[in-house]
Amino acid sequence: MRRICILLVFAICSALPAVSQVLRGFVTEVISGEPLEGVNVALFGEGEISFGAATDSDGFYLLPRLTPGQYVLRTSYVGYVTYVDSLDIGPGQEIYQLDIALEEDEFQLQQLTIVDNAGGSTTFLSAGTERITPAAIERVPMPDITADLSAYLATLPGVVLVGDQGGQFYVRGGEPTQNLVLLDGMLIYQPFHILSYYTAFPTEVLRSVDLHAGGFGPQFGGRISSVVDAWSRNGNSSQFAASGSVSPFLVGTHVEGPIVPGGRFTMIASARQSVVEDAAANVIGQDIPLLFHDLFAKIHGRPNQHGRVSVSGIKTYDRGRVGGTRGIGAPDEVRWWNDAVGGRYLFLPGNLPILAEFLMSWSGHTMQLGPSEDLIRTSSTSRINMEANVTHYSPRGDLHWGLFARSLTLKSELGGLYQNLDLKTEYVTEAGIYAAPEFKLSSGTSISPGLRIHHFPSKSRLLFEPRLRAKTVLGNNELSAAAGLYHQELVGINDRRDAASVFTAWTAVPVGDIPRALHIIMGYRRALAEGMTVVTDVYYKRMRNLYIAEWTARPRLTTKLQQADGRVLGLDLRFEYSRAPYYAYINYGLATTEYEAMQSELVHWFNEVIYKFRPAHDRRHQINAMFSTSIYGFDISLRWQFGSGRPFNRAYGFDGFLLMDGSVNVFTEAGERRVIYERPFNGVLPAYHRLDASVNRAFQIGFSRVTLQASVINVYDRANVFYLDVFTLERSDQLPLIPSVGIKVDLQ
Amino acid sequence: MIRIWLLVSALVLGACDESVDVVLGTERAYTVYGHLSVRSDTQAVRVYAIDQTIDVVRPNQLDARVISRNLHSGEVYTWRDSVIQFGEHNFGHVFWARFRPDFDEHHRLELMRSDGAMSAVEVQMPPESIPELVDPVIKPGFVHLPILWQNAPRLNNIRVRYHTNRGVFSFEYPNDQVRTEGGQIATVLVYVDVREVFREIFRANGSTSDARLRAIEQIVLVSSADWIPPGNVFSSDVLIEPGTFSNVENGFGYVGAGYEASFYYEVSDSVAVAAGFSLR
Repeated sequence: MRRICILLVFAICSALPAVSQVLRGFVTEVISGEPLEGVNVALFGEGEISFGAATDSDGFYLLPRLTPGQYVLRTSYVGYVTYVDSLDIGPGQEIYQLDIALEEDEFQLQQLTIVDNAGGSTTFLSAGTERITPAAIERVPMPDITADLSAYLATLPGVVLVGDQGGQFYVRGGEPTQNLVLLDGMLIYQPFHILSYYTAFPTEVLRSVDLHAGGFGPQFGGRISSVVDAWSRNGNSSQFAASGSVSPFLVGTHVEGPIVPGGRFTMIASARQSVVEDAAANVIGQDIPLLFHDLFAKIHGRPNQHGRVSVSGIKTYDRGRVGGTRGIGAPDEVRWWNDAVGGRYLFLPGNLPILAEFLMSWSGHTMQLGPSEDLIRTSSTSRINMEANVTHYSPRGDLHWGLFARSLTLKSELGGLYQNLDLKTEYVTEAGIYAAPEFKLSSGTSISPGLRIHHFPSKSRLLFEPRLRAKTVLGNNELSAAAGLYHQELVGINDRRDAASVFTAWTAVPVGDIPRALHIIMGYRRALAEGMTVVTDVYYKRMRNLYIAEWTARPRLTTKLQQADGRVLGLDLRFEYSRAPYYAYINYGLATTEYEAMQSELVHWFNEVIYKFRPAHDRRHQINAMFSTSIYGFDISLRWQFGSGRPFNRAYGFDGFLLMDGSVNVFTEAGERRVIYERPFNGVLPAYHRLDASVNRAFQIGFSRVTLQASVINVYDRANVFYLDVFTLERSDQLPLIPSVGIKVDLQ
Repeated sequence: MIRIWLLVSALVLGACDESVDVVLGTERAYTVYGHLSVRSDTQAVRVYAIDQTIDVVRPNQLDARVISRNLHSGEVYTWRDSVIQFGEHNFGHVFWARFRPDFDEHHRLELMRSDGAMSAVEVQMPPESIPELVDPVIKPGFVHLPILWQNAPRLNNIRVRYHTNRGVFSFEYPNDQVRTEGGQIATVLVYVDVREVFREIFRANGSTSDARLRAIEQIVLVSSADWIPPGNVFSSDVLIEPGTFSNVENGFGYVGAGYEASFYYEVSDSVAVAAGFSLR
């Protein structure tokens, strides 16, 4: 270990560029003060472009290794007035910092709207990775006037939401607990609300969301499926703004503005409370026992030229009855809480051409399950995270590296949920380091090998995770690839005998080996014509040592755990058309997920040592089509979703069981009830499909913008199965046709 | 092209279907458990109907007519239903008949539903078995006693009791046995058991010096030949899977045949000493 660290330090130091003249700074929007990403910053020296860079998600740019001389600085961004300045780089000074505020160009913005409405579209970054903007989220119809990331994720071909309740999302064959979801660097254990239309993050506070559906870089770890990396806005630095919305599903509000004159410190906050239990339930005349709320607040500051600091906090609560009873008493109620507080310090050393980010956060999560008056199963988790991420800039490529240390406390009282799992209070520490140099080989071609070393001192485990990303642009064609090895020491244990199960107990790997996954992804993007783009990803995942519930014919909630391997092979295809006033896309996902179980009883039941089966989230075909346009000031959106049927455990019937291990007295031996299953997951549920529609109209009234929305969810009232209780024959469908109206008021 | 259209049409039609068959149902009629015994004047089996839901509370008669036939003599017995309450909302149906089968007989049990569906099971009664000790190994600190159960097709539920002056100590044995031409041999591993016997005696009396062994008894269920679970272990986790251990035609469950028998071995001084006990 020591040798490895020495080698790493040596490698990092040798990669450091020699300090020479450097130009750096932040680019922001002049009124809101929000950072602008992707701004082109170029230095022209004697008529030729000498140096150039694009801003990152913090609006930061850095031009290293400048030669002294006279330059013209040109900062341009579509929709904004180009900033031009002259710059004299002298030999004496080494670091120049220039923060730039760009002003919106009304004329350009209008042209942009006419020519290309793609401002709201998703940005394809490279294989398996895409950037989701609030504008893209707002296009997707919702039952509520406020848009939500959840509705957008559901349109992605590799993402499976098993229903509109429970808040479980599966990315490319992975399970919900294998997704790493971060908000401002804070881990959010249960990012979806119990009504799956909503994530815990209101769109009003979001700046951007990066979805890494696989093949993610070494800065992320500890999960084997995907990463959702969400970042919030800083809040308006020049004026106060607020919004409020009301719909039969949700009431929400947000407020933002400068804390001190000049906007050096800003704040943004939001609060949402569900009303679906009363309002929407009355609309459709059906019981919807779901309740949730969330609170978010953030303070952002620019204490000096060399740093940016922010503190964020989020609190969520969910409560509801999801799924059936398994024939045991009253329906179970599930409750969960997410709490997180985090700080971020972005630091620009005065004499080094680097950007350093320091993150510190605490995340807590509690989940309870059981009869509403006696929630007998509890799992709670808390995590303290400290990490530093550093980027060294060089004309031939950047070097990203970082360190992290974490401490976790995991507590569970499972009430016999897993018979071979003795969960109690656990303390886990972890620490690690990663490095990912990015080599820019030629124009448009880059390759980024990486390595993450993850150490668990409390478990005496050391994990090595090589990663690789590459990208090249050939004319209109963009090719990319990603691969990596991933481990997950802390696992969320579910009873996945049906996909609707929500309760999750977090624990360090209970028995056997650590779950791990290998990802291989190839991506391709081509601009077919103006406004027309096709994007495709082909992916393969090989997963080992997963934890799944053992099969048993016992009709009970309690079960044992077994280890299984998994294999996912899939294709995502996206065709996007964006030409004002129309915006449309169609996504198709083809995927096959197969698990291999190794339960010891298999050989007696099926005469097989390994049993291959489709898990409950294996949706083979998925189609999402969306169309939106504007007519006479009305924004109209339509979305149609289709998903082929998912597997489920189908039964032949029910009888009883007596263990005939001797001279059993049948007059006194009570026996137990038993379900006569087909082979596990042999049944297939009906296909899922649904059409949603919404019409919005906005009015400007003084300082306020009033938006009215009428929407219909499940237009043709399709009875889509959410949950089947084979023990009670109880079928629970997803939400039926729900007409809804909502109003939102934005104040500035 | 036609094939593509047919495929698309099938997909569309399939996608329109909202119904789902949660429970498929089965042609099999009943699940039966029990065993026939030559030691009992009353034979009984537990009968479950195969239901479409789990929440079946059936305190009344079960739709079943149960008879058995002695395939040697041709005698037919009609079995009667008894409803047993095991707990709140937990009722069981035990069908019973008064007769005593004999060794080596062959019986057929038939369970008929009013709609004609039927489950049946054939049971071969084991022959009478006389136990005898064969080739015991008696050395100081190492005593094991192989017991041959003559003509026994199978032994289950093997237990051993040590009769001492400090009480009787019982041990459950796995169903390990050696098949020979003469029957089944089940061995008493005295050298293993006595450690636990002495531990118990010491725990109760604080001393083992005066512990005396009087007899060793092996009790078995002499069973029909097919009463062998997969893996030779009666594990409920394994056997609960329907069909894993079943001999019922058109049904589930298991009905065996067997009777309890024991071999009582009064130990000699040399055996007791070799086993580590004091002399009486």
